[in-house]
Amino acid sequence: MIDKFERNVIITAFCLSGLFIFSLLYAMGARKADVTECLPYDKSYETARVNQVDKSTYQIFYVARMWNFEPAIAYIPVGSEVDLFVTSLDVVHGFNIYNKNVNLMGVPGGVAKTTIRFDQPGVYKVVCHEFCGTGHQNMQAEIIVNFPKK
Amino acid sequence: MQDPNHPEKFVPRGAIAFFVLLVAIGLVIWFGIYFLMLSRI
Ligand SMILES: [Cu+2]
Repeated sequence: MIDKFERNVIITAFCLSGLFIFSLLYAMGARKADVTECLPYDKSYETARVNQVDKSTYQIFYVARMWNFEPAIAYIPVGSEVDLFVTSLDVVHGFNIYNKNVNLMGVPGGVAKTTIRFDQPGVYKVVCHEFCGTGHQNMQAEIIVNFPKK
Repeated sequence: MQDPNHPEKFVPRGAIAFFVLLVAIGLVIWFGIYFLMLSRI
């Protein structure tokens, strides 16, 4: 016969695990919390650029290197969905958008991808949050989300 | 002297309180980060 307290602890542990798993599934399903993808690498990712796919969908191909990101400034209209691709030319860099749910690694020979929506206008700071050398603290970029062009 | 046929009922109140508090703090931290993440989507 299992001890009463032991049984209660086991039940609690299973209920909590279920709660956590359900919360994560809710965030990924209903709220579309994106999980970072790693894409197969090819040379085209070494060209920094901004692509417009359709009216409200953009792609930004970021290239990180000591100690800057390219494109350093990207202009995106309000309400856009943006696919971000990040790679690095030298060492491992971080890619974090302040106050957004984006936290990627720029790895040489690898591509990290995530998708994010910009519903609020503003200047979104991108910082490198993986120590990458003496210029690390100045390594940043901006995504400027402005009102749609007239 | 205690009668071995009728042992005293022992309830580990301190351990229960500790466990409940531990779980509560864990939930606050976990869901704190979780809802911060949701608000940044
Ligand atoms: Cu860096």
